[in-house]
Amino acid sequence: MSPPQLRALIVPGSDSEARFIIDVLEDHGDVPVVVGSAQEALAEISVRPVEVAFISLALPRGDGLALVHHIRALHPEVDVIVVASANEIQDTVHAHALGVLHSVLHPLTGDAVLVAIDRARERRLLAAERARLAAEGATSRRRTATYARCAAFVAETDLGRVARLVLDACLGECELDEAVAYVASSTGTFVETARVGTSTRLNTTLDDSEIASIDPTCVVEDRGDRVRIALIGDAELVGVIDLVPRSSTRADAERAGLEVVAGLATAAFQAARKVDAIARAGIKDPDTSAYTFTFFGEVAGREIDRAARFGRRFALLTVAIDGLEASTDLPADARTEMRRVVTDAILASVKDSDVVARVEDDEYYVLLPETSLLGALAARRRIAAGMSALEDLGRFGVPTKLVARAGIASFPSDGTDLGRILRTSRRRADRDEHVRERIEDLSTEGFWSCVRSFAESGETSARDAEMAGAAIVMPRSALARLGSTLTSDALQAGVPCIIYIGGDDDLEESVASALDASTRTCATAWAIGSRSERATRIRLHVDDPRADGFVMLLVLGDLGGYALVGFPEGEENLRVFHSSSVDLVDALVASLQSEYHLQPEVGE
Amino acid sequence: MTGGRVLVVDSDYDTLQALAEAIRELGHSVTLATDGRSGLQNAVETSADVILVDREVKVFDIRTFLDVLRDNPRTSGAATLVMGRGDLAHLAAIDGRAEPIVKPFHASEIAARVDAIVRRRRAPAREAELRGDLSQVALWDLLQVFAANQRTGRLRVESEGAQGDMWLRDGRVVDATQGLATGEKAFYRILGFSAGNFHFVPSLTRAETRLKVSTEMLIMEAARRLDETRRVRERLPTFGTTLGLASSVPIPSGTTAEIALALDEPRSIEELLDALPNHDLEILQGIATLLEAKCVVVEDEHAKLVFCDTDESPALRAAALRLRRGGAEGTARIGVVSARAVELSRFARALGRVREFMPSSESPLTFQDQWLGSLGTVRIAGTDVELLALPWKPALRSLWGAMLCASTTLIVLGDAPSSEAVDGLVRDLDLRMVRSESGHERPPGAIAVVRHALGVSGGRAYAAPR
Repeated sequence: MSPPQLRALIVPGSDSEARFIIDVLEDHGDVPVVVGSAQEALAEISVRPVEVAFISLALPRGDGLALVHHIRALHPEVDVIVVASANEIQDTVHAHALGVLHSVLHPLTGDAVLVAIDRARERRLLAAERARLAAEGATSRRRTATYARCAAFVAETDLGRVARLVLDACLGECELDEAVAYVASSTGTFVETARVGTSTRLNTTLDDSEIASIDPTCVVEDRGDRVRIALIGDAELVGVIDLVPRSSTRADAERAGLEVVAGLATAAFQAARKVDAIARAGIKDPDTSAYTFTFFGEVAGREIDRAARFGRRFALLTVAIDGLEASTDLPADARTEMRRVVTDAILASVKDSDVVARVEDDEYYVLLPETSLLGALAARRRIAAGMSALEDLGRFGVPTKLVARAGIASFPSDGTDLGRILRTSRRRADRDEHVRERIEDLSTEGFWSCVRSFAESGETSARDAEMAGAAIVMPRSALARLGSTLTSDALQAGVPCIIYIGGDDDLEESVASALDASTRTCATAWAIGSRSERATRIRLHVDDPRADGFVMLLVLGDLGGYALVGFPEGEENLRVFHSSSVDLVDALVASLQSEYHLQPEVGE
Repeated sequence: MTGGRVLVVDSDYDTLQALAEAIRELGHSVTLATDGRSGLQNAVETSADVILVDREVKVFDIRTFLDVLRDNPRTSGAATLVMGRGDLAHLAAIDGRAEPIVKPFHASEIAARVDAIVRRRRAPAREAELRGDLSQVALWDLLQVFAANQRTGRLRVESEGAQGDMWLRDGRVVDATQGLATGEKAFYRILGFSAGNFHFVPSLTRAETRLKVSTEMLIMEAARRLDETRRVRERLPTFGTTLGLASSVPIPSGTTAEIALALDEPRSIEELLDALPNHDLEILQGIATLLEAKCVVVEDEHAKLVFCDTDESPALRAAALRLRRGGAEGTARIGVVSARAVELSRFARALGRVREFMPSSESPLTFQDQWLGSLGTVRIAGTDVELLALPWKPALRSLWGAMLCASTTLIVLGDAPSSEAVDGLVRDLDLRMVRSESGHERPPGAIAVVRHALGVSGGRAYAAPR
């Protein structure tokens, strides 16, 4: 490296002194600038910076020491060399105390001036070196922080968690408004796996045209208002990270940091996908005693074949566990323990012959061989009870009780292929809001209190009327026809069915008559009420005045359910609530059974 | 039936007392034991029919207790019920052959279950259903035999596209329904069936008693009316003939006036018989009078239409069976809805002109201006497809789920508006919706709609040979 050329300001005490210094400096390639006074010197420095200043302490029109004061205070980056005579030793000492670099005494010699200017030159070199080293240190510290952030995800094997941690690492590199990580699903579509920020500028999936527009040679593609990071593995795109930065320009360091994150994220995504593929290919979930989805698919396929060949049934439950959201940020060990606790609770709620598969942390599939809808409803009740009975979940960050939402679909009534059965079951897991409210009311207020409020609930919206039931006024004469038709339908269909009736002798007689007329015994009916002259053998006597004022027709069978509950309005009419939501009918039946200690029906 | 022998083994005295009381009330003898040893001893001594045992039985383990019971020839045939607290599935897992009973229980329910078991074991062979041909046994004779044997049940008679039900209680006919006719009118009409089949289902009863007169009197009156009807029919065209009111002719009084009023639009003789409350004979006499007085004229004379060709009936039969949801047995059913009840009645009337259609013996329920009930069945190569009218009002649509849980298809008649609620419900119920905006009020259109619902297109309607 060639020595730097310095621009030197000279504030001489005399013309000869100025000329001497100029000659020496010019001989060595430096650039002297001569000014006549302290004011001119300060003006010159403000306009055009200089590296070094030669200031005579014997200025003709001003105090040299004062100028030293000014320059040290206002321009500390300028190295000051004072030129003094032997009688100015006191001022020279003073000037050194102010931090001047060097002093040259009269009579001036070329060597003395050269030593002074070289010292300034050397200091310049050292300062530049120090600045370079400081910049290098900052870059290194930044890179270390980047690697530290990446360390959080490189050893992680859960794809969702990797995606979340990668976004956290991106947040550490630059300020972001929104960020989404997309990972290729089993169908090849890139779907959102993790998201930071609440705005919705980024989509939940990437379409084919967006994937096609990715430049494989540019890992971090900066488009100003968007940054796209393509995670390209051995031969394929494993993920895409889209960022919406707060600022439209990015420093080199930020871009470099994102490139580091991209490299490590690619490796982590590939590893996680491999682990996922290995886990899926296995029979058992490595963390719990549940089966894997792959094995579940095989078992379900075999069960469908068997059931179709031998005319059997089976039911499928898709169970979503609400309340596990907080556990996603737990350390790996705690998460594994949490999975085990939840899985064990589900396994304890089903039979040994049932197949439980863990699909996600909060989603399970349960195959119930040789089980009808009634059996599946019983299993669902047991799973829900098992979940809400789990205690001491605070250690997993779960604040309240877990809630199991399960949908049921059965073979063959809901379809004969696994995809359709699964879709139906998942759809049914999302209960109508009104149905959910009514079921909650039933669990807190009890059967009789609820049926009155249901029947008196008045006008309902059209959607509610169809999905969750509606309050209506109907002629009493219709009740027996309805009971007889539904009982005959259940018997004709040849599927298990439980029927509870009450409050109307004609209804009781028509249901009993329909039962007697069939040789089939798949339907069981009970009439709940006080003793009466027209009592049939299906009458269960209860000493409960609440039962006398109501009419009730609850039918829950393997193909569906219907509930009608209410009370007489005048001689001819009934004010009733009716619904064909299986969930609600099941809840009403369960509530009635619990009210009078009636036997639960299983159908298993 | 003599009472059964029931043994209850439980260490809890309250449980023993409650069960003993409830079971004895149903006429069975009950033996009680408080531990496994005395329980087994009693089981052998009494040769019990039903044994209820607590899972926490003392002295023996429950499985040992059940094994010993099964090994002893005197008790191996006994039905066993295992009682216990906890989950039903866990109780059921103790022994596959023992019925689980969860404690606490409703004693009457357990007693009723025990009673059902004893009845099944002790009851003589069930009264057989009776089927036959009216050409071999006349309906008159059949009713007299039922009266002599004091039979209770439902007698269904099918003849030439018509179906009627008679309800018997202790040998006496207490009610009858045929199409829209009930009571005496239906009784006389059914007794007029000269050919066809009958099907008697014992034990099936109904609460209504619309026939107060003795069956003998009814039969004698029916015989008289039948002779009269035969004579009147000679003066009339066929029942499918459409009649209309002649213009500029004054309307006479009496039954004929009611007939004339009912002819505000052209109707067939069949429809007139259903539309008026009078008995068929009086109506037919009125029509004959009106025709002779030229107050009423014959508009057209159509024969019945044919639903399908013989060679396509196997395919249609297979299509009909596919209308049932997987795993369900019994009659295939298609739901029929319309925003206007009149569309349903026109559809049913149009189907009445189809040879394979048999109107329901009981008219649909009507309330809130909505229909609910069977319109009738289309019989395709021995397989019945029921057409069930369902209400359209949103508050009543819960009945769709209840009535169509074993079905896959819904017909929407008329210009019922398409709505998200209906589409959502149809999707939730996993139904296929077939819409028919017009044409279904005429027989060829009605046939086309039902064929579309069966998933079969094409075909043509043509008149059945006379």
